[in-house]
Amino acid sequence: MPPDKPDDNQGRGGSAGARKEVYIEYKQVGQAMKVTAIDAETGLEAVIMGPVSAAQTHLQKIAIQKLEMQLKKNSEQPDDDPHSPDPKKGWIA
Amino acid sequence: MDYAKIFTDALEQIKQEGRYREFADIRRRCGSFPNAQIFGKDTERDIKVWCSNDYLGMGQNPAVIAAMHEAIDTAGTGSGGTRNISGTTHYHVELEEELADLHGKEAALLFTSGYIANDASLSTLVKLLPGCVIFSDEKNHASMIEGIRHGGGPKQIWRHNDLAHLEELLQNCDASTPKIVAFESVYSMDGTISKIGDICDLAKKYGALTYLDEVHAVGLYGPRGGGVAESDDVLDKVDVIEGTLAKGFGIMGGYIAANADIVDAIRSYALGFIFTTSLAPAIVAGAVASVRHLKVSQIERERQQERARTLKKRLREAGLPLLENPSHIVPVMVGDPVRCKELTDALMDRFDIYVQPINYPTVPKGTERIRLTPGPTHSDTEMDHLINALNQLWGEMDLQRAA
Repeated sequence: MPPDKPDDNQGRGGSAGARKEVYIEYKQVGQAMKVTAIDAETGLEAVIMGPVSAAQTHLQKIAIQKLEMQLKKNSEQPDDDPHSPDPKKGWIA
Repeated sequence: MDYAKIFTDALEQIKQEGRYREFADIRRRCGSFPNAQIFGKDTERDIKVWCSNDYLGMGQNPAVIAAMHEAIDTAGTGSGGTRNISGTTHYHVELEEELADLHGKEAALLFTSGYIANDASLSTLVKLLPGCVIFSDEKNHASMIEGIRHGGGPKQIWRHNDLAHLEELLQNCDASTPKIVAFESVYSMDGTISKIGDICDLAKKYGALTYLDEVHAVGLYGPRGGGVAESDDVLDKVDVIEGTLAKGFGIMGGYIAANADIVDAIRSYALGFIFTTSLAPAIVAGAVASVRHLKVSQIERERQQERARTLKKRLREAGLPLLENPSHIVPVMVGDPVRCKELTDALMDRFDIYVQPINYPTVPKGTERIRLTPGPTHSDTEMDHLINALNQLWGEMDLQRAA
């Protein structure tokens, strides 16, 4: 399938998980395509780079998978985690 | 005890079998792959390299070279220690993030070579999974075999790329037993390619983890260079992907990419990772540049595939015994270790063509061969020269031609 090559394109490109709405942004940077998957709920972004000639569906899938992994990672790190470094207090060793 | 005699006898044995290995003393010309110089007793002369695993010529890529220069100017030479003791530089962190991204995994872990990556990772996985049985393709690389052996657990060998045999073995294993299916994507000596998706489906059906060696594929296959698993769109089916930075990416080092828990466990338990000085910053910086370049540049991959197809066509037309396969690897069968060495010596001495003979134990006895690896910068003229030389020597040496 010949790939689409939008220079600067944004839209609702897919779904990460059952209830997630994800925005996909494509931006051509020289010979590269920068693909950003954005979680509509949290604003979390995952960025990948690929060739301009690659199928957008392929790049989109990889970007969404990366976003899903980051969302999962964030959900596993609660805000009140006592092990999270506090930039004001530092670590107690 | 006559120690010297034991060693000389051992050497004499492999010399008599025609499989004593002599290294060619060469120096590649920067920016001019596949040109190199060979150094002899009193001479040095120009040669063409036709057996490099720097498949895409990334070892001569200007962006990679610049990144390595810059890293030396910025951070000096060595890393200064093991990963745990001052040897984790920002370059290492960046590269592991790039590699995890390349393979669509949560994390990645660097090793000093692909061999060490396989040995350390497989042995650690087996040790961490009580009673784990490894299902290993019969043509897996020596590093995988060693890793499995060092793990100390039971193993089952399945016939090369034979999924029916793999399933038969999996069926006979207790459902509650931990299992790992270990295999490669591109097998380096025959050039065969495995059906990754089907193997992963089988593994999942029987509750096994999958461990895929992509060292001869990373950088070369897939729209972003993520290997055959990427080109087959099955990256998410593979649990552990192992790769190298020394072939498609043109530098050195090895790695695994997997979910964060697996990577963290191997990071924490694998002796081959823990107790060694980490890769030099310049090496790692070069690898970052190479991986990033090949994520967005298709030209090297397209050109290399075209060169491999063309060389195979030329070999067929010349009636030379090409071992057919679907990959970029071009094996030409000789079938005798002594004649294989004579052939490659003649190619070097008379035609300035460097091809290494591939003999036992790298391949089974009786299947000795030359293994050609055309790269994106091998020209038509250089290919003409190679084909003419092979044709002439095949005739002079009365070697068997294609049926």
